[in-house]
Amino acid sequence: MILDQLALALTPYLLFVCLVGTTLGILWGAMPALSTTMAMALLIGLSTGMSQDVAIMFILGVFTGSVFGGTITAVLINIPGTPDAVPTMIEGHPLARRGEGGLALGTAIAASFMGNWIGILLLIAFIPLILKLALQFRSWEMFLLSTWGIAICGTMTSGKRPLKGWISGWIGLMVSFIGLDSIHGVPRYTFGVGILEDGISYVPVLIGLFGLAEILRVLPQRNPAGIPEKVGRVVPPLRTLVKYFRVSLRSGLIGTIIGAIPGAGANVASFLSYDIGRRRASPEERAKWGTGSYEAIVCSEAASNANIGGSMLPTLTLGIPGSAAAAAFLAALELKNVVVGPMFQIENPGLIYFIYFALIIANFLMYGMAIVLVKPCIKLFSLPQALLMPIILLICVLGAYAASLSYFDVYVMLTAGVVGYVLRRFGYPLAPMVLGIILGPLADENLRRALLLFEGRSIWNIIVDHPIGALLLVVVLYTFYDGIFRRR
Amino acid sequence: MSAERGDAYLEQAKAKLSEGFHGEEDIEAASTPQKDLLSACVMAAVCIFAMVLAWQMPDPGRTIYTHPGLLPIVVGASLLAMVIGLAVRALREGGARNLGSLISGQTSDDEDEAWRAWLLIALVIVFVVTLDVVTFRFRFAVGGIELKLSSFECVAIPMTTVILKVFWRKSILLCLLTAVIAVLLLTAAFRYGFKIPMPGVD
Repeated sequence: MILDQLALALTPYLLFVCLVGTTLGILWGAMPALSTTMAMALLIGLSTGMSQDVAIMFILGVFTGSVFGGTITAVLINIPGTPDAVPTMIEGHPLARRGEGGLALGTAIAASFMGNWIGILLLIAFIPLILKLALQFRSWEMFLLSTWGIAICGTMTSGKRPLKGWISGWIGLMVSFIGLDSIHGVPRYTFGVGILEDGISYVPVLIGLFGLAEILRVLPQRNPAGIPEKVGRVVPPLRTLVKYFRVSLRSGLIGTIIGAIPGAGANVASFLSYDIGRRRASPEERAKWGTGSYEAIVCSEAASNANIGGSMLPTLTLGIPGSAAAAAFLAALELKNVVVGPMFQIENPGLIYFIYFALIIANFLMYGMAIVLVKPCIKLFSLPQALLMPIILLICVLGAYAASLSYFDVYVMLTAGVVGYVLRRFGYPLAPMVLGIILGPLADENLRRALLLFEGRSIWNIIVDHPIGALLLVVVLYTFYDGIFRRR
Repeated sequence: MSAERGDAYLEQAKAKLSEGFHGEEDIEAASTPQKDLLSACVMAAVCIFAMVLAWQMPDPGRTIYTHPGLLPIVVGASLLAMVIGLAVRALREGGARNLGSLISGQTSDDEDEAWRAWLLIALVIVFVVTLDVVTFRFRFAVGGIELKLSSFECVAIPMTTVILKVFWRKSILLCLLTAVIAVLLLTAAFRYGFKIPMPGVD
């Protein structure tokens, strides 16, 4: 089965699709203000016209490419293409000014490659374990797990104001209740509108929140165009790779773990790894931090790329997206009738191996294309956002419509976009809301089923019978306690 | 980006990094006590409304545990507690003192940006509604290949031209040309490449 999936992934057509995806991802990520999540959200609509294998190859290619793409702008013109590239910008741009831009980018490419490998290997190592554990989960555990997913996502996205992250997640939960109730078929919050009985699909919501809301935020800004600087030769230096091997291993591990936590994506991973790296660096190396350190670039890049593999872990095994970009991947899989979660491997035999191979191929292609594309990317920097954003708006409309060929979804995308824009202006994170909408039905159905099963039983009996549930309950309560009392 | 502006940006990024954990979406800069207080009040009203509706939902089951409104009420109540917490925190930070700053206390750059954002929202709404209302299609053959021109292209081209003119600020001809190329390329990619029909009649 594994060899069949490898042969399938190595089909020339699929390799070509992955190459196109990776190239597009790098170019997309390199353009300031175009984030990985935005690329992933817009791709959901496009993927409806593709077969399952093609869609997975293309989307994972874009995912891998766009996470790296932000580095190019960060190093060369001092604008992080994606938010996770900020630490790389702090270290890489001073190096570029000293004429070492090529070397800085080469180091970043090599570190990204390493980081991706660590993420993929840890994903392969831990998926069987987590799937085995997930099969023990019953209704009560699934309810608690989805509640924890939304709560931790709220905490991880909103820094010192976790309350706002939780509020965003809870709003998402409320939105997910719209439609027919799954047990009795009673309409909830439909106000007599027939089309609302089918519920709100999270695909147009994702496109609205991460596509349209971003356009509404970025397009009205008046930003001067960047002036690209000379790059020099871009060669990932083997000696530097060997020198920073341990650092990249540590950073890759951090990135993967952070990726596995719902809501914490490449941004948290790169910042955390950068911070830990600074504390653990030798005094001579630490003196270079902030003024151009190759070790710091390795820390940031290895972590942000390892995050991809990490975010796939909860997404595929539990159906809880590890990041907003992973939520988009989950949505694309769902459009192909692939249901992720504990039964993933049983219901989709072999697909997991195909995803592994797609990630590995995308990583190799990212390495090659990153070296090739650095110089052509400079031309892209001169493209004004005011030219790109109206075109992306068209993709938002077409993407939202394409998901289920319903114009109602375009209205949902529009509403989500405007609401998302307003919430961002008021300082609310958006990823928890998406997680709330995705996990709402799971939480609702499982809570009611669990309560029915618990009817007439003592609390002690329930705790003894559900040790994982008791542990999860403690974790959920601790997440709220930590957010309320420790992050003040 | 000028060297001075670039340096300032770099310093700002370094300062932010030194502050420690700031979350995946970095909401700190957009949060003010006034905004928190206002949003908490609006959300509290929505919460109460949602809870009342959930309470009124019919229950065809034999037990309260399967009531369709059970989780909506639980979520609504906990959301209400959270927004009250947010409002209390905002009040402690002086959110009630300078509520007018939400409208008038911004810099001219902020006001300009907000005005442009609302204009863009209006244009996008007009675009989406027009696409829904206007539906027609032409079919014609070029060299034996049947091509389609739907209401999507006819609405998208002028709307994209207007948005480009307002925000890109180039000549109307250049904006029109860009819009025509972008719309036709995108529709061709969706319709013929991905086999996805256009909104309306296709």
